[in-house]
Amino acid sequence: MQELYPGFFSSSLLFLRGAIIVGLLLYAIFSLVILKQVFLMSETIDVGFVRPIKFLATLHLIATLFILVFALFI
Amino acid sequence: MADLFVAKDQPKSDVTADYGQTQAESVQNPSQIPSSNTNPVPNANQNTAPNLDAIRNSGRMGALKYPKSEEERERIPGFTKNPLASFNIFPEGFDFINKDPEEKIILLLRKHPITNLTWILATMVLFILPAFFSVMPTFESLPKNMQILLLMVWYLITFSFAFEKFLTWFFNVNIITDERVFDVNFVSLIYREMTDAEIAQIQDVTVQLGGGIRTLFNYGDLYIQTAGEVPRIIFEEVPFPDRVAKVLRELRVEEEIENLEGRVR
Repeated sequence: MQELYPGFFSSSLLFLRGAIIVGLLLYAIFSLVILKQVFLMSETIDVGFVRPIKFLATLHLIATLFILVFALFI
Repeated sequence: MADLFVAKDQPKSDVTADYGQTQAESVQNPSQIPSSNTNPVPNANQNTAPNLDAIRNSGRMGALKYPKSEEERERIPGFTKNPLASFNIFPEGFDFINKDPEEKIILLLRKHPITNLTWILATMVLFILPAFFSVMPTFESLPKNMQILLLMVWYLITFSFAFEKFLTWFFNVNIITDERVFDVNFVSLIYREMTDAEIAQIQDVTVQLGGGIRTLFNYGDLYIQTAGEVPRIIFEEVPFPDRVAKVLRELRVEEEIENLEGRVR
């Protein structure tokens, strides 16, 4: 397909990359909400096992930001 | 595991209720009080309920036996130190924001762990699915960087899916204290609600257990009808629903005794 329609292929890639970046931006906000919610919930009910959950929520946000940066610079 | 509140080494008659006679009958028939117990009830309404402590000690009441020491607590069937347990009696190191200083937590409940099976299987499928991407010509024709990016996004969404399901299960707890019942509904990552009702306001408790899997793993729903602002509190898919209902029954009896004695707590 790349050989047959090089222009279409490159513009499709550009569109795909743009869509991924926009999606990741929204997803980063969602990750931040998750992190905030985890912190709020652990204050509301202290059921133990909170530190690993906070760690996972933070890792999730960091991973999202890393992928966003990766998508911006590839 | 015959009785939730009996420490393993203790004789059953010490602490459990005689369910052949209803709790109400026990309270209403002071003539059945053992004559050996002559302790007056402090601050009591002595004409109507002359010796409720005696009733409680007689073994007829379904009075709760609170563990007096750490060892006693650990001997109670249903007690665990596992923070991921879905049934934990007298949980250790557990607290919540609305708890009164003197309030004692009796039970901490979550949905039965088997209810997580669906999303765990779905996560496993989502996890191994990219292995089949290589057979898709469209994916193969993409540049290497874009392939990596798509894979990373895929695994991020997979992780998010599993994490959301886990958090929903983990924070969706039902709490029974000696004064109130709480239902914490963590509906989604951006929506939650917390409902509570006084034990004294509970009117009736219905246990609903149906279906093969629920019967096999002994979990079900508990409908708590209250006279409060929230007419119904539902404990969904909790393990050992009959035992939970029994706990609530015994707490209600405790509340009735407190009311008769004229005590606040």
